[in-house]
Amino acid sequence: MESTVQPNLPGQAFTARHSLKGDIVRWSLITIVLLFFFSFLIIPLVSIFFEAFRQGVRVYLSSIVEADALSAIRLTLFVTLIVVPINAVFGILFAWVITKYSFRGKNFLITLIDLPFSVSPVIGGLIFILLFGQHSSLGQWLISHNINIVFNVPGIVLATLFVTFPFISRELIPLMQSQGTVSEEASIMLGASAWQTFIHVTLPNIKWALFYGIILCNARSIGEFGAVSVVSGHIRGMTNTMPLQIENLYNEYQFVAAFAIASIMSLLAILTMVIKVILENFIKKQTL
Amino acid sequence: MLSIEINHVSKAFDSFQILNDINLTIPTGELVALLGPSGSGKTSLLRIVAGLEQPDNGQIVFHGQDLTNAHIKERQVGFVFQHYALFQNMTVFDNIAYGLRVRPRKIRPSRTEIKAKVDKLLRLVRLEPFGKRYPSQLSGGQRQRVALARALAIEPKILLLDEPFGALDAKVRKELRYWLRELHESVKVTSIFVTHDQEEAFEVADRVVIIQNGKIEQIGTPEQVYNHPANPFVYDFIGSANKFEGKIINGTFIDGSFETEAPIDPNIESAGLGFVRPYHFIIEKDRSGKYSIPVQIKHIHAVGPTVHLEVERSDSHHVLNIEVNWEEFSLLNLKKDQTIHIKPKKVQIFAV
Repeated sequence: MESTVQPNLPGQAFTARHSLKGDIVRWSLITIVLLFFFSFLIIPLVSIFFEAFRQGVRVYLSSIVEADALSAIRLTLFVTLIVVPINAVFGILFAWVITKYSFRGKNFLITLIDLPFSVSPVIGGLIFILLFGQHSSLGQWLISHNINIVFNVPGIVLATLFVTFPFISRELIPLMQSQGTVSEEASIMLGASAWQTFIHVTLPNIKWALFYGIILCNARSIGEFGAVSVVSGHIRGMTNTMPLQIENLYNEYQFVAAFAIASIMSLLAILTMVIKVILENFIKKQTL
Repeated sequence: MLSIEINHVSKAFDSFQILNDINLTIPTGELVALLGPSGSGKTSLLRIVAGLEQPDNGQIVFHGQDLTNAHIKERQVGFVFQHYALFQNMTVFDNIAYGLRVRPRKIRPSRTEIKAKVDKLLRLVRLEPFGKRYPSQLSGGQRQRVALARALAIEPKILLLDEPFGALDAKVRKELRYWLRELHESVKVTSIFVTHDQEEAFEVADRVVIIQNGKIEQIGTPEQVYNHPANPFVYDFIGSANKFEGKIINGTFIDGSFETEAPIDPNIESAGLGFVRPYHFIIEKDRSGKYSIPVQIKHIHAVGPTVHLEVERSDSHHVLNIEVNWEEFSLLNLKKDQTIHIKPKKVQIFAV
């Protein structure tokens, strides 16, 4: 019987209208976000691969195995392999010193650590030109002794180190601050040496944050353009990293070659993000 | 034989004096409680004995050997932290074995020796089935027992415990107290534990050291400290007490309409403090002599083995806390807002 149902309860009507309005807002917001996401992230990413394969797989492959391209890939990986371990070691050391000891000027150091983030990468590169280039006396001395830092691989390594330094220590410092020193004290009280304490107690406590920092540092080392561009000198087959090689090729209207290398960099970036997500899920499971 | 001597130890942090000329000797095998309010310096003293902090002045001597500047390793001290400080990434077994495994190869026990020793310690702390668990899978009380077993594994000459039961709930605390007492009877290692809980100190310790503002106020057995507090602070601190502020004249303590004899040189005239425990009062309906105080009952709290009365003095309007047993309470038929007379059975007077 229909009459037993009371459709016009004021409260119900209100909630129905209210949720309808809520639905419109919700769906329009979601649509805006998705549209933005597609037009600014997905479409460019897809277009990289589209452009790279525009003239077919064979052209794509040949532009990757081309000597200068291979050299750029090799140089980028080489620089990353040097930079990431160095920054990992010094990042841990830095975070350790900041969180486990108290000393004068500590707060100043904590402020300074973000300098590579706040300063433009171009300036990061320029610092090394000014330090080690022909215009400084140190640079002249080095060059006269056949040590070329600027427009050479060491300069690229230094510039990348500078730009990516904060990634690892910034991940570690808040974690190590919240953990305090009590576990380390317990280890020392049980007779362990400082090194044993670090290996058995500190490192296991920070391993996920450390790994996360390494991933971020790695991604930025591969992709760094600004600082490296200033110090590299853009010598093809010698000092061109992948981002620099892409720029060169693009400026010469070799679009397929440029996008082919870009596609490799994109794949590396996607891989990094996948590892990051897997790691985040894993950490979540560990802590729950 | 004295196993720990603390001689003239002082420590300041910036301009704040945490410890002021501390002298304390602890005989071998004794269990001593450092009791004091938070911020009294008791934990700092413990950390100095452990070697985790350095004193500004003074000496720490273990078994006749000056270890003031010795590294932590040479002290062979077992330390139990308030929040356990277990290694989260290791199992219970590995936690306990840690101190043995990190030894240099020459003095490191073999694998089977370590296993035997850890199993023995797991039995001692009654955690045999839990060796393979991780600290996060244990309750607070179990974690603290693991921490204790871990500290004992290195066969310490001295065991230090920093508020060992501070982070546990009341019931577990009580259980662990008895257990620690028993454990100490069987292991007999010289131990110092820090606590702010006087009940805990009195139940567990052979001797109690009362510390306030970086100074030792009294050292004694629980009975000595409880029955003969050395000064007003100790009286006030160990267990609830009603405070009377007055004058001492001609061997009599006077506070308003309340008078009592003061066992102090009658020639001395000074300000005085009197203390009465809540259960040291006789309650009467009518005034009898100058030793009784007229009060009005403000609140009756009748839960538990005794009845707590909150009363207000008719003369000075100070609030006093009184405990009576149920029989007396029902016999007197006490009611809220009623005026009664109370007479202290036992007053402790201090000249100040």
